[in-house]
Order: sequence, then structure tokens, then C-alpha cells
Amino acid sequence: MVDIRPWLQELYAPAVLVASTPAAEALIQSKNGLGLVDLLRPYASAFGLNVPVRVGETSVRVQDLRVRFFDVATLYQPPPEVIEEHLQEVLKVSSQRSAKLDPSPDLLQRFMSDNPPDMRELTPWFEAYRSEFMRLLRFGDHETLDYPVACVYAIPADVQNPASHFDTLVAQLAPPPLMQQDVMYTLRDKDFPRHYLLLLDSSTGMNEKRAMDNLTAIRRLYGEAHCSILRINSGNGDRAHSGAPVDFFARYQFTCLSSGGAGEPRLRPPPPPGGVGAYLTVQDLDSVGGFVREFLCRTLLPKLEDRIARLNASITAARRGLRNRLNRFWKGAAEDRQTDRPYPWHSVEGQMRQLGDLAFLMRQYPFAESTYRLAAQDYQAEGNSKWYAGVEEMIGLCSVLGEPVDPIAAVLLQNDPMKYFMRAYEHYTKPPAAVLAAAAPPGSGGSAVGAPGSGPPLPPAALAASKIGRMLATRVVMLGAAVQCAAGRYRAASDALMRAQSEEENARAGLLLEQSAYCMLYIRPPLVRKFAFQMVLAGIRYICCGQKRIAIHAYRQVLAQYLGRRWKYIEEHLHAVLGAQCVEYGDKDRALWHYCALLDCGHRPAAQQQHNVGQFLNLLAGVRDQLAIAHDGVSLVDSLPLPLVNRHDVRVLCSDTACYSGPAARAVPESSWLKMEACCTSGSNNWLVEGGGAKQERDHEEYTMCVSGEEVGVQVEFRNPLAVKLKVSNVRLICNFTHESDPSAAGKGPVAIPDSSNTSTFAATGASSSSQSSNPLADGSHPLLPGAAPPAISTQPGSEYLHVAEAQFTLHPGEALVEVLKVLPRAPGWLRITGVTWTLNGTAHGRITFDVKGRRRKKPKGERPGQLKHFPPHRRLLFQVVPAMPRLELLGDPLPPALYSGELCRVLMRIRNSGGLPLRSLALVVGHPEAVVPATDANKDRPLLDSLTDHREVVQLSKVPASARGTLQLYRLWPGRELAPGEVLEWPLWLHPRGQGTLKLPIVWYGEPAAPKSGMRHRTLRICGSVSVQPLLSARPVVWPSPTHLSQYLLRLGVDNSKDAERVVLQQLAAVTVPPLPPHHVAGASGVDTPATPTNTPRPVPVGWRMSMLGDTVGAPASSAASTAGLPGNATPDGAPSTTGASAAAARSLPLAVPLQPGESAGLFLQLLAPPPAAQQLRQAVGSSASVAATGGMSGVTGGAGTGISQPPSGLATPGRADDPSAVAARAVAQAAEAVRSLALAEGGANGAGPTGRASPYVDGSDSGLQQLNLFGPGVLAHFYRRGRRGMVAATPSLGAAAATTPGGLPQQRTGGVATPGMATLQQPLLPGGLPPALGQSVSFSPQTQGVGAPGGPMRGASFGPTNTTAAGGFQGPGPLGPVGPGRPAMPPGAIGPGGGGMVPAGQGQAAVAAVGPGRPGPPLMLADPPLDLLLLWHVASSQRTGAHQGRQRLGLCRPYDPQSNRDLSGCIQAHTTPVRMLLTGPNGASSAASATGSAGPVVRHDFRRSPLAVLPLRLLVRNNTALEARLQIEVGEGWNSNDAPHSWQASTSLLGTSHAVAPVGAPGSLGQPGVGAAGPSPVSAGPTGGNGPLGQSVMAGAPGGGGGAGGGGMGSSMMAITYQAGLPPCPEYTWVGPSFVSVPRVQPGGEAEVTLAVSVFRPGAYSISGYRCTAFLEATGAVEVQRGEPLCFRVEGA
Amino acid sequence: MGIACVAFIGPQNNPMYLRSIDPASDDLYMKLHYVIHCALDAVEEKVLLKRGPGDSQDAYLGLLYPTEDYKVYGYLTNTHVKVLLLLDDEGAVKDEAVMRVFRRLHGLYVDTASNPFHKFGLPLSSPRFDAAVDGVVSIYRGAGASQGGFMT
Repeated sequence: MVDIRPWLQELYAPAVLVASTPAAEALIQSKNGLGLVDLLRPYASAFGLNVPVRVGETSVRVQDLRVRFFDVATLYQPPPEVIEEHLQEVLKVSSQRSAKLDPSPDLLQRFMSDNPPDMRELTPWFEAYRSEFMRLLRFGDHETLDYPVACVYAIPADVQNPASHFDTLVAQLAPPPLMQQDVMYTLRDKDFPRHYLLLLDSSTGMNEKRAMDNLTAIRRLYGEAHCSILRINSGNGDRAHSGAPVDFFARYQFTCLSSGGAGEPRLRPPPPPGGVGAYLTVQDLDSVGGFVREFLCRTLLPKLEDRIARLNASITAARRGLRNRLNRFWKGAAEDRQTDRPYPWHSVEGQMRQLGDLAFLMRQYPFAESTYRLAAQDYQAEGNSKWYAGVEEMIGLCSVLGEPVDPIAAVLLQNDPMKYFMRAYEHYTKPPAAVLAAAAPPGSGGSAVGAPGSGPPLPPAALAASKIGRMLATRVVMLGAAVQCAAGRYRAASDALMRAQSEEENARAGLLLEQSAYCMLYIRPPLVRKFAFQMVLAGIRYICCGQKRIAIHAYRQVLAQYLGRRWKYIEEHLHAVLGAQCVEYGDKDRALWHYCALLDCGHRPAAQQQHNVGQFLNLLAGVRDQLAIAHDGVSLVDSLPLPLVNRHDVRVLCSDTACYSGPAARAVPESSWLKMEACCTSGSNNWLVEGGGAKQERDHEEYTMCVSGEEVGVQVEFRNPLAVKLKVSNVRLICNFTHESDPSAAGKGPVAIPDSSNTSTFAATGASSSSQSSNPLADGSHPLLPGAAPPAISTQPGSEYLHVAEAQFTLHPGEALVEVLKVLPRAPGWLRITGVTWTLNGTAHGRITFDVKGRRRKKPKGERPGQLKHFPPHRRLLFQVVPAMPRLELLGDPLPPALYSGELCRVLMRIRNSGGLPLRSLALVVGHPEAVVPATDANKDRPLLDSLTDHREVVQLSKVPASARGTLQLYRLWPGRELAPGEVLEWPLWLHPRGQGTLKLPIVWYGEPAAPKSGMRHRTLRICGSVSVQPLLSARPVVWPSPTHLSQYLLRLGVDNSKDAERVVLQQLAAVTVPPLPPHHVAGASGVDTPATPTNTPRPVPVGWRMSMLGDTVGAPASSAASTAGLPGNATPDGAPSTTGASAAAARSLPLAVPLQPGESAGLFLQLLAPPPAAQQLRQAVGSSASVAATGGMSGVTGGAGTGISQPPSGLATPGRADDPSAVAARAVAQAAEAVRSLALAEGGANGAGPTGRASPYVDGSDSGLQQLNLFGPGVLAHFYRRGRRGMVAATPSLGAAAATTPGGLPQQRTGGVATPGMATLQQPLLPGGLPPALGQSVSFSPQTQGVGAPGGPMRGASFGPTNTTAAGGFQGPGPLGPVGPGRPAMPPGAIGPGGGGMVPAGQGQAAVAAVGPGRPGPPLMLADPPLDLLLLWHVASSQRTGAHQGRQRLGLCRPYDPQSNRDLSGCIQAHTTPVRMLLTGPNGASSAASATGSAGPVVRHDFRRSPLAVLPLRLLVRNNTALEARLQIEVGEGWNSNDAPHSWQASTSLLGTSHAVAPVGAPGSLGQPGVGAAGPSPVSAGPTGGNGPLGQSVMAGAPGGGGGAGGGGMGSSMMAITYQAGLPPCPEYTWVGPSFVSVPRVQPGGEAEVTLAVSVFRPGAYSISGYRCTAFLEATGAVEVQRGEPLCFRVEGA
Repeated sequence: MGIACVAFIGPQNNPMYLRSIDPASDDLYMKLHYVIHCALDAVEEKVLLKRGPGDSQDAYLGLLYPTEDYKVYGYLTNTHVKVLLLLDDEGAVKDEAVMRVFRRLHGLYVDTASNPFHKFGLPLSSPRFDAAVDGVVSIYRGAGASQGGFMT
């Protein structure tokens, strides 16, 4: 807390007027360069006077007094313009002297501490300004504080008649203006205190005697006390002699104004040659001091006392007292006027002010205050706001100064003087009356509002008055604020200052704001943000008035308050202002820094951005050493924000042991590459090295190896955040390189730490490379780079070891660019990349250091990437440069961008050794099964098909580690040869994509340097190709058994061309029969190394499935598919002959020429011919021997069977899984070979038998090479169709999975098999594809069980285990079924669901049951026919697609069966196949198959009159579809026997009733049938109730009629079922049905047998023959299969 | 009386959201920024003066300080997110009305910050939030108008 009173008292002192004749003035001036006033002023203070003075009622002793001397000519107030001008200058000078451009460092900390800094120390310019401001505002017309209270007249001492001189002086004196206006107490008043002074100049030798005489004379005239003589100029003109201090007088001189006034002369006399005061000696000065003291004591104080007394008396008479007050009150109320006219000195109002001021000057504050208060009433009443404000101001000062000294703060708090000051402020700011008068001119009705601007121009006097009023108001606020600050009321001070600043002129407003801002910091807690804000406002004001330095100071003082706190608008404003100000001020460095901060202005409008960037660059254009421009220790170069560089995410593109062919390869995870490379390197590496166990660390930092002569790339992202185009040039990496041969480093070995002190660091200037560059800044002396000019560079240029490539690019608005910057080390050593440098728009240099350095952390925290100890390889920036190495390089991307699914494509990989050493042990790892590499490159230029058929075109895989087997293929190429540097190797690659989508094909080329060196034992090239696979053909095959031939099937193959594809020609369709394996394969196959075996064995004529075209549906439009859907029923009668005819042309492969436009479909109608049983001879022989091998052979494709037989039941628990992999592989090879063979041989077989006969672009079947396609080793196609789980023939490893996923009874049956070891052979031979719907299968294989009443029934027939009972339980609902035909939808579809759903529990439960009842055979039986699949060869004659394929032929294979579901066609066939198939044919082409489709059958005519019994011959064809030899037993008539007619049975109409008659008949003991019969109503009869079958409709319709017309011939039109009775109860007499029990001794697997039967009818009618069945005994297993025949319909009519 | 500006200030006194309700020039925005920034002093002062340890105080801070053009009102959430309102210096302001606006804005902020993709303390840039703020402000305006008693 500072006591403010000394300062306030200092401000005010009585003024003394000094007047001298020119002669007297010249005495001092000419010698000393001083005026009389200047001479007197240093002695204006007198101490220890002890003069009693009476002021008012009190008497005081004046001890100390200070007066101010003014020349009479200077006593006026200068005009406001001059004041302003001068003040500006003062502020400029002061701020120049003390305002720092950098902010005070710890300003806030100092304010926070207990000892805050002093305000005067913070803003010294304010003090200077304020004192000057107050000085210039003196001599106002409303306050008398500065009016002279006494006067000193001076004349030379040696004049004649001094009194006349004094008179002349007085007469000629020009009084001050105010005195002329009678405002100032005038000199002419007789009571004005005067003092008369004679100046005695010693140097000119004045007559001292006359001087003393003159003194005596004037003393006599004016009084003893009021005259003095002053001896001066006793020196000799030498300052050293005089002894006065240098600035002794200057301290009391104030600045002169151009207009004069304010107590100072207009011009000061020039200093004399001897200097100011040269002739004045100490004695002279002492006498001056004596004179002043004498003047004060003798003249001033007594006269002042008198005057106070006079004034007091006058005022008391006029104003004090009740009478006067009432009088004034009445008078004041009467008139309401506004005036600002000054009161004359002799008026009462003027006197009051004078009295108050005198008392104030005499420091009688209470008296002064009371006087002021008295005056205030008057002034207020009269509306003289200026005077009123003046006295209020004085009252405020009195209240401050009049308090006791001691507890000033406390007292000030009690009695706040601020109200007086604010009152004064209010009234000072009131516009003067003249302005008001001008503002409301008479008759200006409309312009009352905008008066000051729009009205007539104000008189200059009024303007000046208003300006002065404003200044006075500010003065009051300054005083008040000073008082409040002294009292500690900073907030109030701030409020006052803020109030005053808003309307004040700029400079003063700035000062006030600044003061207010600092006040905010004094408040507890400091309001730093308000401080900052007000400082910013102050800065704005300073800028407006051109005070740059102080403005910059204000802004910078608070810049730290805002920076980095995300107040972006504010930051930008500050930077923009500061930048502009610094430029104007000439501080270029700081301006650059601020403009640099403005560059990141992406959120601004584009024009603004352009402006910012342009400004910055313009400013920077001339600067050479940008690195030296630093702010807070950060160089401008390092802080250049354009373009944005992502320093965190850099990616190193460097080839260590692995080289990449492109970004796609880098995107593949490292682990998968490592896995692929492990295939090659596993021979040479051990497991310690394998998994990256050997870390390459140097100084605990992991590094990357690179090869000298190979570029190291760093991928850096540059981004342009602006809407302005940026040109970035000269972009380079900053690197350090330590040569290996560096002595210090070499001494420590390769692990030595590159230490900046002892290794030579080469800056990446690329001196030699860029010295020719046109950019002058880009030459060797790049100013930016650290150590760019050390001597080491000149002696050992960096380019010798290192070449840094230079990039340049243009960033368009908003663009982000990933640029690969490169450095090329040319010698072994250590390389570290630290950052990147660039030049923006050719001018501004930027630099940034990557945020990747050294180790990530010393102690790794966890396993996550961010916690690891080291950076991942692609972010390590330390490199060991090793000597030259071989290097593989891919020339061009060989892969086509797009392929069709199934297409066969050969591409040529071109690999070059671009390194410096030859390469050996070339190897290739292919990571996708749909690509394969042939062992030779001999065919690379031949056409596709040619090379496919070349016997050399084989695939030779090398063995890969077990972990990678199945997914990776390893090829060792060129054993023993080397790839010399620069040599190019071309090698073909076959592609056969079979899925859809994108095929990612990772390939690794591997090679070893011929002479291994320094750490790199091999190098690899990693390629990741990507092919988009588009769909082309999709096939929809439908299979059903041929109605006419037991061993034939019909196939409808719909082929759709994709809409987006192009014109495709279906060229060939091949049936692929999977051959059995020779026994030794199964037993001794050791794996993949014997794939050639099939070719070596002399093969029989290839037999297998054949096919033929059925009808000519080739090229049929898609709509024909609908019509053919119903074909099985309708087409059979007439289709049968054609098929037989066509079967002659049956072949394993059909040539086609079906063109398909995009989106088109074709339907192929084919007949499939099962291989004749003769072909099965081998298998059968083997199978009959019941050897292990035989079964395996039979179930060649099924997998698991071979082992399953020989193994104990326990081994069966995991069927398929326990498979020997080598056997699986061998089978796979065989399958593939077969696939290719069937494809290739097709042309040969079908050469002349094309059904269409068109000339179509087939593959030329006569090409023997084609026939050999698969005969030699594992060809390319064979490879494709062997590999993968989803190959052409379902791969065996998937058997278990397939079985598990098949929603059928497979698992059930398997568990059943486990329980019954004897049945294992039957269970295992499952086709790999599974039997599609398991329920359907069980239905077809065990029709008997359908009638079973309850699942839990214990009495089941011996042949069927609980498996089927449970399964049957699921579809028991449909009730009794008629004869169940193969593939017939015998059960409602819904039944499958429950059956399938209940499968697993059923299986388990059944397992338990099975354990109880041993010896039951498992139901599923192996089919006799080998598995079958189809392949469709297509080609595109001339591809329309742009790209590599354009105009060229494209070739591909389509596999109709969905590879996804892992099925082949045989699975589908099996679904339609029963173990025993029967076909009953009758006269006139009647056939059970035709009847099954709902045909009423042919008509047979018989003359019943000639013979009452019509005997119809029937023929029953039976085929054994199982793979086991069977003994068949055919029963007709439900076991009725007859002796006469062999193989005939008796028929009659159903009139006689049937089913109940059947029931009592005992069942033959051979079959456990009675239960079945009892359970179902008539399960075996074809009676009316049997009509749930397809015949149901007609049967139900016919039955009533039949019932009504028993024995009537009129029934002929209706369908009657035939029973086995002749209308009589069954008895031996009438039973002349022939033996109904036929036994066929042996039927081979796939073999057929024919049984001749006959049936007789009594009367005409429509008949349906059912009730025949076939029981097959499979002797190898003991299983029993029962198959019901389908009904045969015909009509018998009377002839 | 109307709302001139809505601001959300993060716990680190960083601006999260500042929007002038009436369309504003960059200069006006700068001024608003300054004013809001200054208001943070007042918030700190209020908190320091009002809250003793263990005191749970109302989130509504009331009038922070008047500037020459605006009145600044404040609201402090539990996560030290400050919500500031600049009201036109016209007419009387009812504390309840202002408090209601603050509550709504607080709820709005909570909803927005509940977005799993929002990171606490980062600027809010959601058009939906903008729209919702507009909604709240318009409600206040309506309420203010009706309080004046002269709805035309």
C-alpha cells in the first residue's frame, strides 16, 4: 500500500508570476542560456520557514513551502491539438525508452507471489504521460490553483530611476489571457502581492553602488520587505568553475510547446558556448536561494494570509449563513440555466473557488473542503458543470488529503472519495454549453439526433472546450484510479478506468486500458483473462494511434495467455496484429514468427489463406538465414507448418532380406510371409533363428539391414490443409551416415554406437548431386541442415557414401500426398534417417524430425504394439548398410486384373537379378492352391492347350514342412544354375481360379547369394498379386434314374451364362469316373511322390460312366427348361427308343458347340450310362476275397473304408480321420488323373459322333498330345483338380466333416456300425459326398420299415436295425405307403425336418439299442457304380474385355456341381438309387416306371369268351445296385405258391376284398413280415388303401366304382387294383398262381437279372399290379435288403 | 432480451463449442471469443468464492459479469464443463428462465457427449447439436417475449 498523498501534494503548489524587463532577462540569458524563471525554479522549495499563517478560523505555521515560478508570458493553456500532439510524442519517447518488445518473463508468477510488482515499474510510460498530461492541463479557466498568487518584477540593478523602470515594466506587461478576461486575479489589483528584484550582473562590471542606491530607493517606494537585489554572473564562463551540476536547471525545465503556454516559453534560448549556467557560481546560486526564501517569508505568505482573510470575509457575507442560503435557494430555483462561462475573479462564485484553492494550497483541507462544498452548491444550482466538476474533484482530493496520516487505507475504505471523482467525471464530460447551443439550433426540427455531425460546424472554441472537458474528465479518473489503487481497491479503479477509456482518444484510452488490465492482476485471485483481454484492447487502441512499440508490448505481454489453449480466433487475431505491427515496426524476425503461426489457417476463407501465405512468403523472400530466426529456441524452419507432415506415421520401404514387389505385398502381414519363407529356409535355419529369435540390436535399438547400392525409401505423408496450391520442392530426408571404415567405429566393432563426437556425420545435402540445381538455396551450402558447413563435408563429401534423392511436388488444395523419399547408401556403414526437409514455394524452408527415434521404451510394458520395446520393422530408422547383394526384382505385374471363374490362364513372371551378386538356389513358394508352377518353362510361348498337353508340363512340388502343407507349394527351379546380375528369368505360372471375388496370390521368390556375405544368407522377393475373379458359367444339374434302363440315369444340365460376361462357347462335357485304386496303392502308398504310378500301369480300356446326348436340346433357350421339367413322366414312352439309339454314341466325353451370349442359358439333356458290370470285375474279385484291400479299392473315393474294415470296432469311432494321409493323397492323385483323362480322351471317342454334326471349334481330338495330357505325371490340370479340399472330386479329408454336417442319418449309421462290428464294411463305404438327404436314403433302402408301428417295437425284422426304426419314426405320419420308388417324394417334405432334427438323440438311443441286439446289419450300402463327376470345358473365342486378354482366346473349366457343398454327381445319383432296382414290364410297353408316373398304362385286348383267363406275360428286370454281390429272392403275391405256372401269379379285380383276407395268411418264415402287415392297413397290397402313392388319385376314384360293379364288365373304364386272389377264398384249388418265389442265385454288383413272370385276369378292367418285392441277401455282410416293386398299370379289354 | 451466444467450455478451459445465434462475422466471433474467455475468470472466481470443500453447490452460477454489450451468465457441470450464455443487454433477465435454458443445454450436452464417438473435452461438431441448440434458444426467446407481456 503506497501513500499517495505526497504525490498529490506535489502536484499542487502556489504559482508565482515572474516578469522582467528585456534588459534584465538578457543579463541572464546571454551568459547562461537561462531565463530568470529557470534560475529561480531550483530553489522554489523552502524548508523550515516557520511562518504563521491564518487560514479561516485556524492558524498554522507554515514550515515548508514550495512555489512554482512562471514567466508572465507563459501563463495560458495551450490549445488541445498542441496538447495531444505533445502527449503523443511523450508517449512515443517514453515507450521507446522503457517498453520491452518481449513480454516480462514471469509476470503472472510475480503477481501470484506475496510481493507483486509495482505498477509504476510495469508501465513507466504511464507515469511520464500522466505528469505531462496534468501539467498541460493547467491554467484552465475553472480552477484557480495555478493562478499566480504573487508576482516578482525584475530589472537590471544599475538602471537610472528604477521606479520608472518598474512602472514601464508593469505598463508594458502583457497579462495572461485569463487575466485579461478578468477570470484570473489580476495584477492590476492593488492588493496583488508584488516583489521587486534588482539583478546585479557581476561579470559586466555593473555599478554596485548605484545598484545599492537603487535598492534603497525602491525599498523606500515599495516597502522594505518587498524589494531584493540578486547578484549573478560572478563566474567566468567556465562550467567547471561554477560547480553547478550539469542538469541542475534542466530538471526544472519542461518541454516547450510550439504554441507556448503551460508555463513554459515558446523557445528556449540557445545554450551559450560555456554551457548552461556557465557564469553562475555557487555563491550566485546561494544568493538565489536566499532571495526566494526572503520572498516567501516576507512577501508571499503575509500577503496570501491577507487575501485569504479578505476572501473569507467576502464570502461569509455573501454566502454563508441561513439568510444567504435561503436567498440563494430561492434565486437558484428561479432560474434554470446552463452556462459554462467562467466566473470573474471578483464575483462571489469566483471568490469561493479562489478561497478553496488557496486553502488547499495552504494544506488546510477541511477548510478548503467546506469552501468547495459551498461553492459546489452554487455551481450546481447555476448549471455550470465545469466549475461544479472542478470543485467536486477538489472535494475528492481534500477528502483524501485531509485524513490523518496513519491508517490511510482503513480510512479511505470508510470514506470513499471515488464518488466525488465520479461526480466530477460526469460533469466534466457534459458537453459545454456552447456545444449544446450549437446542437440545438433554432429551427432544426429534424436533425436533433445527429446534431454534432450533421449540424452546422461547431465554433472552434466550443470544440476545444469539449476536448478539454474530455481531458479533464480523464484527469479526474486518473486521479481517482491512483487513489483507489493506493487504497487497494483495484476493481473500483479498473471500473473507473474502463469507464473513462471508452470515449477517450486512442492513446489515452490505451493507457487507461492498460492500467485497468494491470489492476486485474492485483485483484485476488488475479483475473488473468480479463487482464489479457484488456491488454488486447489497449493494444488495439495503441495501434490506432500509431504507438507501435507499446502496442506490440501489450500484445506480446498476453500472447502466452492464449497460445496453445485452442482459442483459435484469438490466437489468430493476436498473430495477425502482431505480425503486421512487427513488420511496420521493422522487427522482421518476430513478424515472420507471427506470420508463420498464421499459416495454419485452413478454416479461413481461401482469400484469407492466400493472403496469409503470400504475406509470409513475401516477408521471407529476402531472408537468407532462416535457421537463425528463432523464437523461444525454436527455429522458424522447424516450425513451418506447411505442408503438414505426419511425423508419427512414417513407413520405411526398405529391402533387407526380403524385397517387395509393390505396396500390395507390403500390405500382407509379415507373419504370412515368414511362413512362406520358412518353406525355403527351413533347410538351412534352425528353430532358434526361425522366429526372428536373433534380434538385430545396436545400442539397444533394433535396426534394419539394407544393402549398399539399394535405395531406402521412407514413405512420408504430406498434406495441404489450405485452399491454396502449395509447391513443395527440395524435399529430402535428413540422414546421418557413419562409414564402416570409420576408425573409431571400426575399433568397437559393428556394435559401436555412432557417437556424434567421434564419427563424422554427413548431412544429407547431396552436395554433388544438387550443385547444378538452379535453386540457389539448394546448393551445397544448404542453410538449413545442421552441420551443413562443417569442414568434414568439404574434405569428405557426403555424396561419396550417400545420395539423397530430391523430390518435388505440388499439393493441391486439401490434397494429401504420400511421398516416398529415398536415400541411396553407397558404402557399408550405418545410416540413420532423422527427418525431412523441404522448401515451400521456393522460399520457405521447413524441417521436421520424425517421431521415431531409438527405442520406444526401456522396459516393455505389455504385448500390445504400443507397449513393445522396439518399433516395428517398418518404422525403424536405423539401418546397417551391408555390401552389395543379389536382389530379385519383378518386371511388370504379370497377373491379369480380372479372370473368369474357372478360367485357365497362364502368365509369365519375369524376374531379374538387379543386385550385384549372382543368385543361386532359386525357389518359389506359391501361397494359393489356385495357382501352380510347372516344372519347366519350355512351353511358355506355346498356346494354352498345347502346353497343357505337353508331357513335360508337369508340376514338381518339393516337400514343405508339415505345418505349411496343403496351403503352400514350394518349387525349386533351376537346380544348380545361377542367375547372374542383370539376368532375367521368365517362368510361367498357371492360374485357375475357381471361386469368385478377389484372388490374393502371395508368391515368394527365394534365392541365395552365390557367395554368402555378412549376415544375409538369402534374399527373397515377395509378390502379392491380386486378381478379381468374375463369375461366368453356372450349371444346374438335375439327375434322375432312367425309367427304361436300370443302369442308366438321365441328367438335365442347365448352364447359365452370367449377364456381365461375354460370349462363351461350351466346348466339351466330360464325365469323370473316379477309378479305383490298385490295391497296392492303398496298402503301400507312401505319399505324393508316386503320382506317376497310374501312368505306368497298363490300364484296361478305360471304362466308366459314359454319356450321350438325349434328344437335341442343344442350344435350347432357357424357357425350354420348364418344359423339360415334366419330362420324366411324359417323355419316357417315346424317349426310351431314342435313348437306346443314342446310347450307341455314348462316350466319356461329349463335344459340344453351344454358344452362349451373356445372360443366356442352355439346357443339356443327357443320358448317363453306368459302367457295365464287367468293368467291375476287378473290384468284384477283390471284393469277394473280402480282403482289406478290396474294400478299399471299391470304396476308392469314399475314404476311410480300407482301414475301417481291418480295424477293430473301436477304430471306427473316428472314421475318415484315422485315414492314412498318404493313401488319401494317392487317391486324390488318381482322381485328378482320371478327371483330366476323361476330359482329354473325350475328343478321341466322340470324334465323329457329334450329335449336332456342326463344325465347332472343338479341341482337336486327334491330337495325340491331348490324349496324353494326363498320362504323364501330375500335369497342371491334374494338379488343380487334386489340390484343395474342394477339388473336383471331393477330397477325402473332408469326409468326416461332410459326414458330420450332412443332415442325414450318416452319423447314426456310423454309430450303429460301431456297435456292430460285423457291419463295418457296409457302413464305411459311404460316398465321400455323403448321401444327400439321409432320410431319403433310408427310405429308399428300407421301404419295409415305413410301416413299422412304433419306434420302440422290439420285434423288428432281422434285417433292419433300430436305426431305421427311429428314422422311420420321424415320418410315420404319412401312414402306409405304396411302393416307394427311387427318388419319389415318398414322404412329405416336412418329415425330413423332424427326422433330421431328431437325429443325434436318435442315434444315441439307437446305439444303446444296438448294443443290446447285436448282429444287425447297418443299412447304407455301397453303390456298385463308381462316383461320377462332370466337367464342362468352355472357351471364349476372342475376349472383348480390355486388358491382357483382349482379342485372345480364353479357356476354362466349369464344374457343374457346386464345389461349396463338396459333392459330386455320384452323391446325387445315389440319392436316387435303391440297393435293388426293379423294372416290371408288361405287354404293349407297359412298364412300372411309366405307371409310377401316373400313366394309366397300355391297353391289352383279350377275348374272354375264348379263354376266361387272360394270362399276361411280364418281365421283371432286377439290378443289384450295391457294390456287393447279392443273392436275390423275388416274391410275388405275398408268398402264395402255385405249382402250375412258373413265375406267374394270379390276378383278379378287387371286388372280392383283399386286405383282410391277406391278413390271416401266415407270412413265410424267411421274412419277418407279419408284424408289418399287421401294423399297416395293407402295406403290401395295391388295394384301394394303398393309394397314398402317386396312383392314389385314380385309385381312389376307381375304387368305389369297382366296389359297386363287382364282377361286372362295366367296370372296364375304371381302374381296379389287382390282388392275388381270384375272387375265391384262398385255397389250393383256386390258387393257380405260379410259384411266387423266385431265387436268383448271384447277381454281381451292378449286374442285372431278368425274371419272367405272368399274371392273369378274369375280366376286363384297369389293373394295377403291385405286391411284388425283391429281397437281396448280401452275403459278404449278411445284410438283407428288401425292395418293393412299383405298380404296373394296364387295362384289359375284351376283344 | 435474447441470447446472443452459447458457449461450451471444456474442463481445461478450452473452447468446445461457441456459436453466435445470429449470423456473425469473423470479427464478431473474435469478440465473442474474447468475451467468453474473459468470463472464465469470473467462473473461476465464483467457484473459488462460493465453493468450500465438501460443498455441493448449484451448477447455476448466475450473472458472471456484464460487458458493455452483453451479460454473461454461467453454468458449471460436474465434469467442469462450463456453459456460458451471452444475453443481449436489453430488458430484464429472469434467473429462472436463464436457469431453464442452462438445464436444457446441459441435457443436450450430456446427450451429445454420450455419443460413443465423442471424446470428452474435444470440440463439439455435430449438426444435430447445432439444431438442438437453436431449438433451446428459440424456446427461450419465446419465453422471454411472453414475459415481456407484449406478444404480437
